[in-house]
Amino acid sequence: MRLPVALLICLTAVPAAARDWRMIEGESSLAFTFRQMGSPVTGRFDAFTADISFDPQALDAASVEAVIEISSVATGNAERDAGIEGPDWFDAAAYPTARFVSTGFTATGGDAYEVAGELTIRDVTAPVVLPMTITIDGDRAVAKGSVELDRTVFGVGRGDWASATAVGHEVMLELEVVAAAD
Amino acid sequence: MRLTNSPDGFGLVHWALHWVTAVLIFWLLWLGLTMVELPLSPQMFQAYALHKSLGLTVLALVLARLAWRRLNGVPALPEGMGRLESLVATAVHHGIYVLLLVIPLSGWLYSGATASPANWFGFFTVPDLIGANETLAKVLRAVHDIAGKLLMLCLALHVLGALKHHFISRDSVLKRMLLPRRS
Repeated sequence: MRLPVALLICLTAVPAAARDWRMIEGESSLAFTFRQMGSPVTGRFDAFTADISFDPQALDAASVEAVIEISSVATGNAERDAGIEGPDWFDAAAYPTARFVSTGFTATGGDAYEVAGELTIRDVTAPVVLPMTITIDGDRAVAKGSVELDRTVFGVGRGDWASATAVGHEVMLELEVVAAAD
Repeated sequence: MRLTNSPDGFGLVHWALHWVTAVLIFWLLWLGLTMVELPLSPQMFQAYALHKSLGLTVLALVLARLAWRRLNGVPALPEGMGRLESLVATAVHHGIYVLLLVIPLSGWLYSGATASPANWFGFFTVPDLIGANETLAKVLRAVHDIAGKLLMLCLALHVLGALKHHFISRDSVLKRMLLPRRS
């Protein structure tokens, strides 16, 4: 008689497992905007994946790990794309991917969250907080957010490019991840 | 100094438009021919940005000059020019005007096609006329290049013509553009 009760207490005390989600590639996007000679230029990374576990009722168990293929960069200009992949910028030959690994989710009201994590670009890892809105509609979730990064923190744009004269230091990332429940 | 043109001379406005445009064109030709040799670098971005700012300025000045011509005409060609000579002079003048519209417009479109918007001397972003398009970029680049070479040819003829008027025909054609009309 006592054992089942104890078992029941044990089970309910275990934090609820977060739901696993599968990113839908065709509907998700990772765009960025920077200034080139003072004018905004927008590009995107076409190939990236995200492993997501998320349940608003179990934020402690939520996690996301995203991997971005540097060589999938597209800014509408092949010469510039090649430059971005080159050694002065992302050095895709040595560092083919960038990575974001979450360290914690914080609810900030309604559908809004702050997703803290570590972003690795090239060989530099730095903490980043992504303000996101995450809406779940049945088996479908949409996460949207944007954050401004300083490219110099990650050593992106070296040598003559380190100055902000030709290419600004601030890069606005805009991401939209659409996922289906696993 | 008179501002307006008359049948026998150019006013200050047309004179200034002509010479400012002339200086900008030589600067643009030099920039255009040298910047394409630069590797992808901040210096290359700066050269292109300056080329775009100057080119858009020329476009504005040429439109202003065309409007000004429309409003108060231009001095007539001197008497005594042969039929062929007049024809060539008119063709070169018209050619230069057409090229001074085609070149900046193709450059402006090229900026859009290569997703590299112009920023007028750092004051404001110039809206792109079209979106990124690599095929169109190749065509526009060719148009811009060929029109630029044609412009150099027309400018050579233009200068030779002016010198011919001054030293061979000994008329006032060169002088009236060197100095604006006084009365």
